[in-house]
Amino acid sequence: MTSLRRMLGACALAATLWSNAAPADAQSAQFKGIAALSRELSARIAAPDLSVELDWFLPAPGLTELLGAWSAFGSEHTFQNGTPNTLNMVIYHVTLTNFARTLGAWCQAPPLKFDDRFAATLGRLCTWPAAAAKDDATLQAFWLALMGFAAPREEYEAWRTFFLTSSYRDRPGREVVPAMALALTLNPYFLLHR
Amino acid sequence: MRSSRLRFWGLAVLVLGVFAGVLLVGYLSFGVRPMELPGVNERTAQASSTSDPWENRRWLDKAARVLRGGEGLGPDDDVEALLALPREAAVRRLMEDSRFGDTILDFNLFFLGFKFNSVDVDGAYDPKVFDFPNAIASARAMAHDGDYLALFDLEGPFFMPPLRTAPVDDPPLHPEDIGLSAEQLRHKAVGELRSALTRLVAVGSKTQPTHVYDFCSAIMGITLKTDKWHERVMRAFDDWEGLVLSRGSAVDGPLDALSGTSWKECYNRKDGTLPNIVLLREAAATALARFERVAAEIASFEPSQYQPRSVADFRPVDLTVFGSARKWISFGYEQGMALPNSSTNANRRRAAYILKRYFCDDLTPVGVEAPKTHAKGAIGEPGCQTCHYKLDPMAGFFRNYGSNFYDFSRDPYLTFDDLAFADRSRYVSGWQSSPQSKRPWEVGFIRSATEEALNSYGESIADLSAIIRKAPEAKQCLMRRLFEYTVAEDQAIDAAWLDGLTKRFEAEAVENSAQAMRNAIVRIVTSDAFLQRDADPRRCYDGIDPKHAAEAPPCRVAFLLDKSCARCHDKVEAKTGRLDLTKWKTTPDGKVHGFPHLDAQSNPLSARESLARLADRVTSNDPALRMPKGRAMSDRDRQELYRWAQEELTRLDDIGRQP
Repeated sequence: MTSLRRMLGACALAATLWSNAAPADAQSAQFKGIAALSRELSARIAAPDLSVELDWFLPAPGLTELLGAWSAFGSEHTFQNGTPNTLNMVIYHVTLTNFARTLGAWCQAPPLKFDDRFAATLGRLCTWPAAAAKDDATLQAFWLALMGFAAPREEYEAWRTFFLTSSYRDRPGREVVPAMALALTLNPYFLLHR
Repeated sequence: MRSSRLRFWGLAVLVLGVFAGVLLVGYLSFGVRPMELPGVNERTAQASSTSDPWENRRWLDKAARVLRGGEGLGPDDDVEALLALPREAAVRRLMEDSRFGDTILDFNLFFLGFKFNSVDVDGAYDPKVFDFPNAIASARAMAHDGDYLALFDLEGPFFMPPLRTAPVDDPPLHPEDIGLSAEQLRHKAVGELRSALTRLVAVGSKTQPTHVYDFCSAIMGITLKTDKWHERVMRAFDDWEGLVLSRGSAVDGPLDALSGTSWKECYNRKDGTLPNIVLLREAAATALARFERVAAEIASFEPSQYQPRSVADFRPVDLTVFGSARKWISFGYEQGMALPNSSTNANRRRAAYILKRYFCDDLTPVGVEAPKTHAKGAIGEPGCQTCHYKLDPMAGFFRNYGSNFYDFSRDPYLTFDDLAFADRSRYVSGWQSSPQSKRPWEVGFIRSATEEALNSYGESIADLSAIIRKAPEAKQCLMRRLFEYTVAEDQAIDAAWLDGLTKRFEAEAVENSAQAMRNAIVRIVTSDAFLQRDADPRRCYDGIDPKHAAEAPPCRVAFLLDKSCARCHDKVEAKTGRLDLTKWKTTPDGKVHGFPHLDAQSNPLSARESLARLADRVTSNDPALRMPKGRAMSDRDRQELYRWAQEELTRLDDIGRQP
């Protein structure tokens, strides 16, 4: 047990050193921002003439501008808070967890109205661990509905493999759907502009 | 035991969470890149065109997002049909979508430096968007192959948003307004002045000519309270709407005209006769009619009557109701706040904005050759002239515009945004030319402090609009911003490729600027830079000449060096300053890249020293040192070269600090 603690501590330290050692001129991709993400999601999963707004899921009102936003009044507008940092990642984590839980809650009592095709996909996924939920077509439809084609296929395959082979393999849909959605929406390909 | 195990797993989850968080933030922030970038030299990178259906869909989804106001492919899209088209045709198909108008509007706002998260809020256009009438006029023009370059017009039509539905003040400032909706309050506030003027006209029609002074008194009873009437009407409108009414002199205009006539007839007659009651009746009726027209025009923007669903639905205000056919200046309420004209900056803030936004000149101090006519005063110092030689003449275009871009040209004084006043004629004399000059004003877009023939002079905002329309710099700036908007703001762009993009746009815009803009979008959306996943921001993906050797200078500046410097500095010889700007090679220590560059003793200069000298030479004020010697180089090119050198120097410092 002690050795495991040491190993975990060493990993955390190594990660800190690794990130700090990155060169100053290295690529610094920016968040798309909550507004852009909401538009993307709305186009893919919202019912006609409705939208899905991620700021519904913020832990508190008024945090949108911390998550990458074209803001400011009284001066020229610039994209602010777009560089990932510990604070905005925490807010993203909480927001997307709330969003993912809402998708999980949909398995029991739909709290949101979605596009019919996405609702059908979600309905099948809710039957996890049934075979229909593990079907590649269902998994890919769920992935593409949330992610679009922003991520390479390998990202999808890694995500699918994890849920088909990890302990989630046999858990109920109401637990697996939020985990799937959270893993997917925390993917940098979902969050970042590039 | 159970509690100990729980504590352990709690700790494990915590540490793993920290580990994952740090990794994630590190990955998101820094990505993965080699320290010395071989990509900088790689001018042979090619498109990631692929037969992989997943990648093709990725491109289509990204193109749809860019071209349809942020909305990518959705369940209703016939993806297979779009994929079956050649990419150019697919882009043109996506541009037929009504949401493309929102993309153009959003880009126009980005170009102007006032992009919003979204042009709409809760399903309707954000009223703040209407602050930028040239952005709207240009976006509307795209819908019918009109004049996209209306974006460059600093005055033109004005588009008003639907009037607000929420109360301006809640609770209302005046107790008698409690319980009224926003529309009811507007109706009431406008109706009060309308009723007063209607009563006045009735009084005039009943007044006998022998009692004309009673009518004079009645008129003055209203016109002496113009400020009060202004305030009464404005209480029903928010700041944005109020600016429109103020700028259009909706209240003051009719009442001031009436006041002028009554003052002349009633109190300033030289011949001792009675005031002409017919003229006074006409003046009262005219004031009423003019206010009625304004009120009717404003009322036509009530949300119950006007709710645009697309950019094409935006309706211009009939500016003739404001008493003249003046064009509307394209700076609204927010720009009035963001670009104040204070008594100390004397419109230079606005000048800097125009240079930055329309000419992509952010006033990076790159030195200037001493002008033939020396500037006087504190800003005559060479260090100040680096910017002021072009800033002050640009500010002159706005010399009659004071607080909130209000045009004071017909007033004896000018009010600044810091609430100071100035005698207008004295204030504007700061831009008057010397008696020897051929021009009345030292106002213009200045390209050179020494060669007047290169500059574009003018006097008015209309002249400035014409200069922007004509200037190749503005079109290149437009193309640069379009690339930044479509690909990424910090993505390197090969200057030669940008030059080519601009030239094609310029040539096509002569015939049809909307079509030229669509063609430019097609070129960028089908470019290699747009296709890239995880693009390296320092690498140029387009315009790469495969003939270039691996040792060619970095793509960002290769074209600039080739155009302005490499004619002389192409070998390491004494007559070329021992500098070869056609190559970018690994330094002898193998750690970094630099230009082959020797000192006077033929010893190799370090990459750092070489770049520092280059930066110094391109920004020197001394004609003997300033490069390129005896040749013109635009400020934009000079700034780009200087900024690149500075970034390289910073990078070298970072590399030097690494163990």
